[in-house]
Formats: sequence, structure tokens, C-alpha cells
Amino acid sequence: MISYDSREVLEAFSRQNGITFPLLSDKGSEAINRYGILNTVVEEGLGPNREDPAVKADISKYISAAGTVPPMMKGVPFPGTFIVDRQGRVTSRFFEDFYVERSTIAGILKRVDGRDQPVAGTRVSTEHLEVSTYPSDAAVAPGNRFSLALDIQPKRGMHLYAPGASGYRVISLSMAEQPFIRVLPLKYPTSEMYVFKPLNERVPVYQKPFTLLQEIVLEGQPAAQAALKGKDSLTLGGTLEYQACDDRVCFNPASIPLSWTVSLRPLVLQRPTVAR
Amino acid sequence: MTRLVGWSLLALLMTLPLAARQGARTKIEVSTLGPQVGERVPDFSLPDQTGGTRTLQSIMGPKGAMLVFIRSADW
Repeated sequence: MISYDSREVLEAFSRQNGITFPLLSDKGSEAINRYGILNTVVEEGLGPNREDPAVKADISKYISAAGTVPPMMKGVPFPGTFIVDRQGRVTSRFFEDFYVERSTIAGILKRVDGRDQPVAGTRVSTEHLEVSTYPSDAAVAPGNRFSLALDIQPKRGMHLYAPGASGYRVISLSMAEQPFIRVLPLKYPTSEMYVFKPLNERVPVYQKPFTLLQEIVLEGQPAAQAALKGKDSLTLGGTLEYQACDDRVCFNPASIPLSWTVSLRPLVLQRPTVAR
Repeated sequence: MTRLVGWSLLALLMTLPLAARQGARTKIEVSTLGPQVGERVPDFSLPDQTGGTRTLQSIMGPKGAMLVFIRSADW
């Protein structure tokens, strides 16, 4: 983790929060600058163009909802994550569009290589498929972007319709609306083409085990933080809809109600204890 | 002469978009900032919380590394 904080601040922060991975001190923001991710809105917000509506809009997006720019923010980066291979080449990167939002590390790993975290989930079996679903994180904090994974295994001989299939119910997840919860577009893996000879029909389907990823943002603005205060868990509901067929029979569209519960973590608001 | 006018015109055309851009602000698009997928990230040499010096090479694990840039751990 890299920030413009002093080594003393990082030492206190890691001690107080039990962090063992390296926290690097880029005091003076030289590395942040060289990476090209310096938050330039800070300069603008403190400069002659601070009343420009476009600058004001970017301040509320990248600095503070209050619209003010604390001078101490000079030198911060746009927060984000690079994943690099052993040669230092970027294999994926994650930058947020809103300053109070952050992807969780487990959520990023889930998106990158589908790595499973030991988070308890739900298993449902129907006559067409088995679904195992779980959140990327057991606990989330306001502003966290995390994901719900749905590992789906079509039963023997079954196929489920994928995006692009017409005339059939494409598998989808509809999330119940809830205040301060933002639902991002469902991520589908690549499908395969199913050829149904009697009708000379080619349709995109899933026949092998696959994973749908539903990313969720638990909003972090002050109103959301106030509404979540004192709650210790969050339950999300949704419905998985699909249609399955085998080589002979097409079954009626079906739906499975699902729910996920994650613990709510408060934001760490305590400042590291250092001599100031 | 014609040629000279031609060149001047070309020079003028080349400076126009630049002049138009001056003062106008580039909209922030965070996805375009910094090293993109496939590009190499710059090396660094920075102190860690224990006082040791870390470089890109020294934080590498068997599969690579994750570089998380945060605003501050202080406020």
C-alpha cells in the first residue's frame, strides 16, 4: 500500500490496526507523480478556477462532498489498485469514480482470478441446476464495492441460456432495491454455441459450470453512513431467473429467490497516534 | 509566395486547436491515468513502516504484486 504519509504515521497505523504487509511512505508524492495518478483536482480546487462548475463537479466526485478542498490533500493520488506480474506489467487495474468508494481486496481477487475466499454461502438445487452463492467479503464497510458470486452447475444434459439467446429466458439476477445499495451490471462469462439440429438453431448457452459475478456498492456518503450506524449486518435479496433445456425437452422459465448476509464494519476513523 | 502563404496557413491551423484548448479543462477520467494493462509500472524505492527500503522488485511475490494507492492512512 502506498500513500504520501510519513513513515511514523504508517508505523503507528500498522501497529494500531494489526497490518503486516508493507505500507510504503511516498512523502513528497514523487512515486505518485511518476505513476501519473496524482489527484490534480486538489490543485484546481485551491487555484483560480475553483469556482468553475466543471471543477466543482470534480471536487465533489474526487475530493469531498462538502465541496471544499483541505490544503493537506495536496499530493494525494486518485486512489486505485494495480495488479502486476513478476515483470512489473499491469495485468489489471481498479480505480474508483467516487472518492468514498473502494473495491475490497477480496472483491478484486474474485474479479481477477475467481479466487475463493472462505465466506459462508447458500447452496440451492433445482431439477435443472445447482447454485452455490456467497459474498466476496464476510464483512463490508460503507463505501465498499464488493461482489456476490454465483457458481452455477447445470445438471447433466442441461443447458441454460446465455446473453444473446432469443426466444428463451436468458439467465439473469434481479436484485431487490434497497436504499444506499447500488447494483452494477451483472458480469457474465463467455458462453458456448449450442446447435439444435432438428431446428437448425444456434443459441448461446452455458452447459459447463460457470460463475456470474454481481458487483454491489454499499454507498459511503454521509447519509448512508448515518443510516447504517449501529447496524451490524446487511441482508441483500435477489432472484435468479433462468430457462433450462436438454436435448429433448425445454422446461418453463424458473426463478430462485436468494439472499446474502454480510456483517457491517464501521469505518476506521481513529487517526494513528503520532507526535504532531 | 503561394508556398509561403500555404505554410503560414498550415502553421496557423496547427496552432488553432492548441489555442482553443488553452484555458479549457481536461475532464478527469481516472481509467486513463497511469500505467494501462500490458504496460510496465515505474520502479520505486520507498521506506516502509519498519524503516526498511522497498522497491518494486522487493515486494514481488511468486505471482507478482498488488500496488494499492490510498489517499492517506492519517485522516
